[in-house]
Amino acid sequence: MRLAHLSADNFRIYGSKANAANLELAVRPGLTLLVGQNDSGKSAIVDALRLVLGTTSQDWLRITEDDFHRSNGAVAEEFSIYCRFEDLSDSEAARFLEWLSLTQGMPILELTLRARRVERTNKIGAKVWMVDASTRTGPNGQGKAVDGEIRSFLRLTYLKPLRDADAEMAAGRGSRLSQLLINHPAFKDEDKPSELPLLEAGKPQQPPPTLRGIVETTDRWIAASPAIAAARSQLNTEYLQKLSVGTDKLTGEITIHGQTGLRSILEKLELWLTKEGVADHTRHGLGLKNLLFIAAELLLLSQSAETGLPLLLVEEPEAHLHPQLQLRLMEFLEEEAIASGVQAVLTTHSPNLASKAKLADVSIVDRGRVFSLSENHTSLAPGDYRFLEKFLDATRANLFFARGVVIVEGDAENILIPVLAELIGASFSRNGVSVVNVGHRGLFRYGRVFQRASGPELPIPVACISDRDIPPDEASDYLGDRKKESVLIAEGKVALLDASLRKYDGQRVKTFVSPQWTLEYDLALSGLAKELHMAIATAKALSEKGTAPAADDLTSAEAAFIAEEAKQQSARQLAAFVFKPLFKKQASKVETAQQLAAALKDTKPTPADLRKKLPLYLVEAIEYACGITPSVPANANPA
Amino acid sequence: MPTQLKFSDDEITSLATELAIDLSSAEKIAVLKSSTSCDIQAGPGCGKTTILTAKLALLAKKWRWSNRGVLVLSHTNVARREIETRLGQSQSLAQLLGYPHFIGTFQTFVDQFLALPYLRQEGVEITAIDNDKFVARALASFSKPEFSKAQFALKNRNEGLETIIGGLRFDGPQLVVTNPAASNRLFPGPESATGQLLKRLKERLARDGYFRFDDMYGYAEACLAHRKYVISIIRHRFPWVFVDELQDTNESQDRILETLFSADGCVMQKFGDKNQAIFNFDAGSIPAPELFGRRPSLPLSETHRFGDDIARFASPLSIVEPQTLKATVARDKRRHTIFVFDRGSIHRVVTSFADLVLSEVPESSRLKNRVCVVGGRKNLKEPKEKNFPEAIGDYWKGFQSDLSRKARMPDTLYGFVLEARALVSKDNSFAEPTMRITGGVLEAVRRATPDKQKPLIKTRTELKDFLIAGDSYPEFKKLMWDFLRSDPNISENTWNAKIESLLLLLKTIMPEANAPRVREFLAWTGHSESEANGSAVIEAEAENILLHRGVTAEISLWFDSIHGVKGETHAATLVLETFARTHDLKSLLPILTGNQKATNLTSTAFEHCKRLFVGVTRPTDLLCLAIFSEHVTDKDIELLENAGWHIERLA
Repeated sequence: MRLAHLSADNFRIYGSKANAANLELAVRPGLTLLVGQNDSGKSAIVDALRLVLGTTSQDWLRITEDDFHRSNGAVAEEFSIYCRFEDLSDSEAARFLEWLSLTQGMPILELTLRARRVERTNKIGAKVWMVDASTRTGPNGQGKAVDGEIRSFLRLTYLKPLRDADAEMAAGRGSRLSQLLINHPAFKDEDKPSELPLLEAGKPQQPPPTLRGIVETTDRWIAASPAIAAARSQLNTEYLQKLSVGTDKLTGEITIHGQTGLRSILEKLELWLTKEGVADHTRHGLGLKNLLFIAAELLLLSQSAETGLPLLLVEEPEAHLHPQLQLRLMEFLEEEAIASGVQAVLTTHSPNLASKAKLADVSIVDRGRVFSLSENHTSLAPGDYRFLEKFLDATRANLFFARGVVIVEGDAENILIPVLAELIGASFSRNGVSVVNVGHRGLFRYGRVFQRASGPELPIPVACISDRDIPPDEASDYLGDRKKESVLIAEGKVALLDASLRKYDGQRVKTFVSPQWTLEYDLALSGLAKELHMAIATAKALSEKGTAPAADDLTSAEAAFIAEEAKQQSARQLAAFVFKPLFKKQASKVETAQQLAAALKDTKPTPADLRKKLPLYLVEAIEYACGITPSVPANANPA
Repeated sequence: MPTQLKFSDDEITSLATELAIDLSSAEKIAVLKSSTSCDIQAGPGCGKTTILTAKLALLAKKWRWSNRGVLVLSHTNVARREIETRLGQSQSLAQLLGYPHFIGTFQTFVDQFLALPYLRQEGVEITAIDNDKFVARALASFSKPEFSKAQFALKNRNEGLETIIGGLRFDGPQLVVTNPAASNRLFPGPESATGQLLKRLKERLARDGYFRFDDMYGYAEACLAHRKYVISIIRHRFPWVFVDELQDTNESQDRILETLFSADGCVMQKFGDKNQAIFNFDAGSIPAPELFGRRPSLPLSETHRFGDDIARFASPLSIVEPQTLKATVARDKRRHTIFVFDRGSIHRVVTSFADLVLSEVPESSRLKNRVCVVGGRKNLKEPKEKNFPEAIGDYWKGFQSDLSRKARMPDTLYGFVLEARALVSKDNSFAEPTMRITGGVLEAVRRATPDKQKPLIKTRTELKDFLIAGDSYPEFKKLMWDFLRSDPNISENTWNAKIESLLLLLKTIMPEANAPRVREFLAWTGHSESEANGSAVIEAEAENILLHRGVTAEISLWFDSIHGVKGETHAATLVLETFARTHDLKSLLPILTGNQKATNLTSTAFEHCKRLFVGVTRPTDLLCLAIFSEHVTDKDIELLENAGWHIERLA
């Protein structure tokens, strides 16, 4: 059976269904990966599951007053959490028979937890509040209550964030390791007493067949050892008996195994890492210990259904883990655990993990709203899912964690635009904006992953920055075969071309197109002609000679520019002049971008000044992605 | 696989020691070892419940599945409690009382696993599943003008409106609307105008949430038909199924059992006595279906209830599955007597029997079990002289035929309180009594709800939630306490004051609190102190008992129909001849005299025979019959004496 759906009403950040503010999460059959900023509602989802199902580690989550949703100063009187299981085998359905919902096609298991907050005045007149909670099954929670009998079969395995693996895997009363092992089928008969088998000639002594036998045998040997016997004797005769009063003599015993029972044996066991079978007692870092801990938990998960559901709930599995190990863990979860029937719900802040997951398994949680990225929830074409997944490596996967996204079509833009943004006072890092370079504007269609098939919009602004790519007539002397603007106008193709650039727009995805030709051309056009020219010159020198240009080269480049400027041509002609080396691939665009960025940073312009020199579309795009409302327009573009 | 569990002789022997019972006979061992579906034909007093419990014990010791269990179905709460008590006596057996096993009545089984989940899924809201409440609501709704045509058509029918309208139920997976009178040829068919109106009425009541207990069987069958997947799930969950009292299974139950459990992966073993498959003339319940020959039958024929002589009288009367009963307990020979009476001496039958009991049956037996007088027929609507003797009432004028053994619901809240107070002194706890009174409160709420609406509070849980939410729960509890206090009785003034307080607490859920039917219900009906205390006890346990003062001692005789004493053990039993189409004992004389084997009986005689079998297998010590003199010839008398009977003519 698998968890198919979770919803919550008036629980923490999630409001009521009537206001369309409740939680609705379609849980994926294998892995469900929840990403989202802090306080977005991820933890509420995790806790909702813990409350309605309970956990195998028996950590008891109390319902407190702040679990009830607050809005406009009012606190909700009641909250409910609902989850639904589908695909029950006959064996599972038999187990839950009395609690099933008998829907048309198949039996399902529905659980509804209702918690009510009741305020009472106590004896001394103070207002106290109490929670009355019950979990029932059946449609609308009208069926049989969930009682002790089946609670144990519904528990999920929960691993909290920032786990202290040391503490969890240590020996001790009620240790997690003992809990895991005692529920493992292999330990079923280990509680039975057993003796040392008879010694066979020529063979080494075999141990007793059960754990209990081993420990009891060891205990006898320990008790018989001269050292222990001596210590015991001295303890008893010289001290304890003398401290006794009356006829009851105190005596002490020194053993491993004080109490009976398999559990007390298991509580003495510790779990630690070895290096190729050799004991390695160096203290390991938390990261590896965490892996050990996770491995131990998984040990029990896919075993029999006696001890709970094969449902793993982990917050931040990446905790303490190096990125490579994070990737490995993700792979393992997907290929091993899930393939063997375990269902996992994870929350993460790690782009590494996100990049490894299938896109359809990811849900973005944003301020109390869940946005599943599975096929029928986004506008992304089903065929594009596969490609987008391959495309999303760890760097690019940070777009799921962004507050705003900028999609660009080249490395140059990737380098330059963040710098420009910072310099005009709209720093991308401060605004949580991620830049993704898709390499080719045809791939702007990946932006559709942010568009919803139905329901509320994903409130993440996505700015696609694109080149209009229509060469101006002013560049006709070096265009070669490329058709210039006037030709295209005559052919009536301009409108079409313009429209096609915006075909992926919709909801919060917007394309910002350079008004004329390319980014560099339009930068030159809007006021950075000289800076661009110098950057190109430097880049050119680098590609020709392989070294940074000499001072002379720079001077002569500058002179060339001044000379051209003096010709008093139109801004467009000047821009065409500046752009020519790039068009002719005499200088690398990327190198140019880097030089320009460095140069601009060095000049330390004020934001207002720089704004005036940038083309409007760039400023608009940057402000859109940063969620800044537009300010005074930068530069009326001189045609 | 649970159905492959096997039990060895050693295991059976040690079980016998552990439970201190005898499990040595071949018959018993065969039943205990069997692990295929079959019937266990258990004669009266042959230890059916003991063997069933032993088998459950064997299963319990080996049971290791957490999601599969044993299902034990009985027909009455009495039988269910019997099994539960025996299982509760040992730690290892007690595990069968909980999940994943299920021990309960048929009704609870179909309710919990089939009918209620199905109704819930269909969104049907339930106000009450209770025959009495249904009858009341049905009759009330029927009296509306839209049903006037049907009112007219059914006005003069023999069965009476309460039976017809109050008995409207859904039958089978198609939920066909039927009622007890419908089997009569002359009843309007379902296509008739009346039939259509009855259908509408029943559907209206269902919409309002009122159902009979047996409606749940219809819904259970509907569930099995429309949610076929449930069948394999239930089979998986209950691979071992035991049915107790198989002879009381009705058609619907039989269909459900066959649908669910007649498959390879299930073992269904039905315990019962087919020879005791009688139905009740007076209540018109549905007769048992053909129970023959579907599966192999294992016998249990060693009885410890009565001795060889009664066994020899009874065995020829086992006609459905002939069985020769053997006594395992030696009992002293007694004067089993047939009283032959005439019209003038019929009233001396009972007293003669009583005197005979006092002389034949030792006090020790009489202390253990009752002495009973039974007959096939309790009452007749219109007695006819030519059918003498007709019913029990002919033998004893004091017999009241319409006292039902079940305690009926009181018609006033005061009555509820009296019953509750009686329970306090019996059980010494307040839990049951408080529940009884809240039952009365819920009835008051129901009455105070306008007809078209559903009561705002329907269950005790809802009532409690309502009171807690209104911060009046402590006050309510105090009222309950006041009602139950062992102080003597509640005076009219005190009662009225308490009722006013109660009404204040409940006013928001009792919109029509001032309606006459509510005020009637809440009125003080108590009598003087002493009567108030005593009358409660009698009303709760209505019995027909005659106290006979003999020469040396007194003896109480309990009167009932044969149907009413099913399953009982008596010290001594007298079976009276009665009439239903024919005279029962007269028609069975050939078998009693040994003249004829029990074949070629008419269908009426067949039914009489089963009934007589039940009657004659009740007593441990003494069995007597009473036959009208005009029904026996001298030759008959001679043959009866040869067969072991004493004959006493009452002139």
